[in-house]
Amino acid sequence: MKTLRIISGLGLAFLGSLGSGCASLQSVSVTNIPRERGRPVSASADNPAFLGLHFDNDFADGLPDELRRQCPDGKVTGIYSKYQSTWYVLVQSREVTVHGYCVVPEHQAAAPPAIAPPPVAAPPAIAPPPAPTEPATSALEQR
Amino acid sequence: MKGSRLMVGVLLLGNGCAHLHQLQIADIDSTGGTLEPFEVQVNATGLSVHDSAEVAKLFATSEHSKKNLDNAEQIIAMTQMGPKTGDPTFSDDWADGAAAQVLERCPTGHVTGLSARRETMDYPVISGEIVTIKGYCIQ
Repeated sequence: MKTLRIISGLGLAFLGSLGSGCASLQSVSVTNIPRERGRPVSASADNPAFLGLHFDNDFADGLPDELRRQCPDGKVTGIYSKYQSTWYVLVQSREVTVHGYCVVPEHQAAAPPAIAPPPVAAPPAIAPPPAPTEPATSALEQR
Repeated sequence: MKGSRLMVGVLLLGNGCAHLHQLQIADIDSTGGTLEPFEVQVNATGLSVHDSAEVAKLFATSEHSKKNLDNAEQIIAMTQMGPKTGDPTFSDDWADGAAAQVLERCPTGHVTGLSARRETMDYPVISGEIVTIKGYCIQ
């Protein structure tokens, strides 16, 4: 009976530690946050290791490229980067999370509508006035 | 003696790994031109007082010497209290040249997407204290 109690106590402690983990915030940084925030972008990377024995720190190297991929023609700014580690009994997991905003310059954002052909309203303005007997669509077809 | 060897073995097993202390990523501007990635690294040798004391204790011949080493380790540890990353180094300006190296790699001076990583590579007794800076040079 006593052995059963000990085993169940240990089991409960194990499950409790599995559920909670032990998180440690290692570093946080934020860059300038723009007034006009564009599209939010984010990326994260993690690196679990048994007993916390890590042999390199390259796991987060792809994060800047991932942010660039999500914002190919703009500027990623207002970047909040957080590095934390969490222990799950015998395994340590290191996690880096970054959030930011993709801000596309106004001249680039406005460029597509300027280059694109004008909307439907434009052709009637350029087209000569149709004959009173012909419908408007036939005038467009002739052009 | 056997116990001491076992302790050193455990010490060596615990070392030989990488620690990431800080990581920060700056704004990435893809609007100014072609981005050319670059990387610079500065480093220094750190010394683990604890590991040094453990190794010294292995060679100590008497209990009195071991106790003295224990005391010395505690005194050094108490005089080096406070927040820190990695092991103590022999100078505090070893990372100061990082900015100059960035400019060497990108003579135009137009850099973006800088990410700075402070890390330690732990070896028995000594450690490699490293700052790695990666970024893009706008061509």
